[in-house]
Amino acid sequence: MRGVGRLYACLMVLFLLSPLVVVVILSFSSTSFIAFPPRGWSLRWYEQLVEDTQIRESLLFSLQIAGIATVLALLIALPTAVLLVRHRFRGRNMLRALALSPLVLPEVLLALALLLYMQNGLHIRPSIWTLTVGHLLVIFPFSLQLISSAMGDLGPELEEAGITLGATPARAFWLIAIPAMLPSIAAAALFSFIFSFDNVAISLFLSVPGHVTLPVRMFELANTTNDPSLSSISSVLILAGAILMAVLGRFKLFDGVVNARQ
Amino acid sequence: MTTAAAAIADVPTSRAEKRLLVPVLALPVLALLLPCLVAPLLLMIRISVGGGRIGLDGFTFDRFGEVLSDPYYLGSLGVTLFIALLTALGSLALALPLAYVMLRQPRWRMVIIGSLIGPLVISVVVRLYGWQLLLSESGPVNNLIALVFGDEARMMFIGSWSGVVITMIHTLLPYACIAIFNSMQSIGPGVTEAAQTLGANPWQVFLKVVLPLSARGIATGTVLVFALSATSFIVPAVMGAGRVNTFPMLIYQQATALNFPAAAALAVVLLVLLLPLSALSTRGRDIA
Repeated sequence: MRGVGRLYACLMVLFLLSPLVVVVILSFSSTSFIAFPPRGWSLRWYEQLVEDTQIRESLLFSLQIAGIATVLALLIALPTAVLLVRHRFRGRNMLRALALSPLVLPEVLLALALLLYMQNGLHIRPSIWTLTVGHLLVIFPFSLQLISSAMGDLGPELEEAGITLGATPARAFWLIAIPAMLPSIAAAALFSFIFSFDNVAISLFLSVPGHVTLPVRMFELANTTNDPSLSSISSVLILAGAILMAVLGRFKLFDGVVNARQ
Repeated sequence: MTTAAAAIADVPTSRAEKRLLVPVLALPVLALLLPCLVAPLLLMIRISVGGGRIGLDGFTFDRFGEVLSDPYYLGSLGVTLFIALLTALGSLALALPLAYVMLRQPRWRMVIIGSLIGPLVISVVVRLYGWQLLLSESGPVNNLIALVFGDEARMMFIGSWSGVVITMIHTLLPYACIAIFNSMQSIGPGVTEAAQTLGANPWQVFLKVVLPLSARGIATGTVLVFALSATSFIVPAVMGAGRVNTFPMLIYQQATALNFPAAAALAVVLLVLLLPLSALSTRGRDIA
């Protein structure tokens, strides 16, 4: 039983990681056609990546959108978490269901609804702001969940003690609750950023003329090119993901992910 | 005495403050969700039952009649649900034993969680590109098949539902596995230890104790994977190579063809079919 379990675990780890491994191997290929195993080795696809201005522009555009959307998501999630965790009022359950509904709604529907609303309702052109709002809607529930559960775990007692000792509620929140929840806020920021940076469906529907996010550019290249040129940027993203996993493991932030994505 | 008096004096002001605080705290979230989520969804539903080129004139159910009688749309719906069913069953079959290994062998737990979550933080396009390479006609998987069964056994994974299902299982397995593992872990070690003490072998512990007690989590995870698979746009768009047209892809095609009322009607059909499932799979998840 133990041996069978171990063998099965090895096979599953292989299954889960093989698409990433194969991309990294291909990125060092020297041929302009795709072959396994590669016929020769070189860094030509990385050299090509460094000179690729389109990929660089898309990367910067994606970083910009993810950055703005993450800051907005945190700024809205914090007061909402206080409201849902610390206050009892009529309509609380409805508000919570509404705030978390983008988790349940298919992304394609959300994207289509936003597109129709901008084109036929508001009559505004797609811009970086309309795209950012789309990303914000998708990442907001994750931020809210992570911060709400941290606030629930913290409990109101420490802040109440601070208020009893003479602090105003706002001061107690700022000096006691925020520092205590900092790891969860950091995790919320990190995952909001990743989910915005990786988003394809919203970016594809609400595409801004002249600007293409990195995943959308890669999606288009994956459907049209037949050489290893996509493998170098993919390997860079895999390396970034691996570093991130190491950091998450170091600071024991896995629990947050497991709970948020269950 | 003084603190007690202060506390009593505090109550009315704090209550008045609280009455003011709730709307203030609710303002940002409502400012985001009412104009950017509720209004767009309502407009989409309005357009799906509207006449005219942009669906804002009059009132008609014609679009739904067209969608539900056109063999092309119905065929696409059938393919979508077929792929979702295979994905859900495949994920369940792979995730159940994996979650059990995670439960019983703590030394393997971090390795498995890392392998499950690692791909999730890397762009889905990168993962799909990897699967395109693995499953291509001369890729490693087909080379292995040719080695074992001969050259004529090579399979066309890309552009067929088999490639879409394999990739979809890879994408959604983490969700199923983590949901099942969480519910298995909530059983607690005492129960399984008691079963072992009373003479059950590991298989019996799994079949007669762990499985029935985590049935809820297993069902939740499977339904979640089904719903996520049926609404996935990107996996069939890349792996289907234009030959597997699922329902979410039709929505995108109609939207890019500027046929908004048809896109809205398709979206509402998908919503009506799948929202009950999604709601079911997330029920019981409490954030407070």
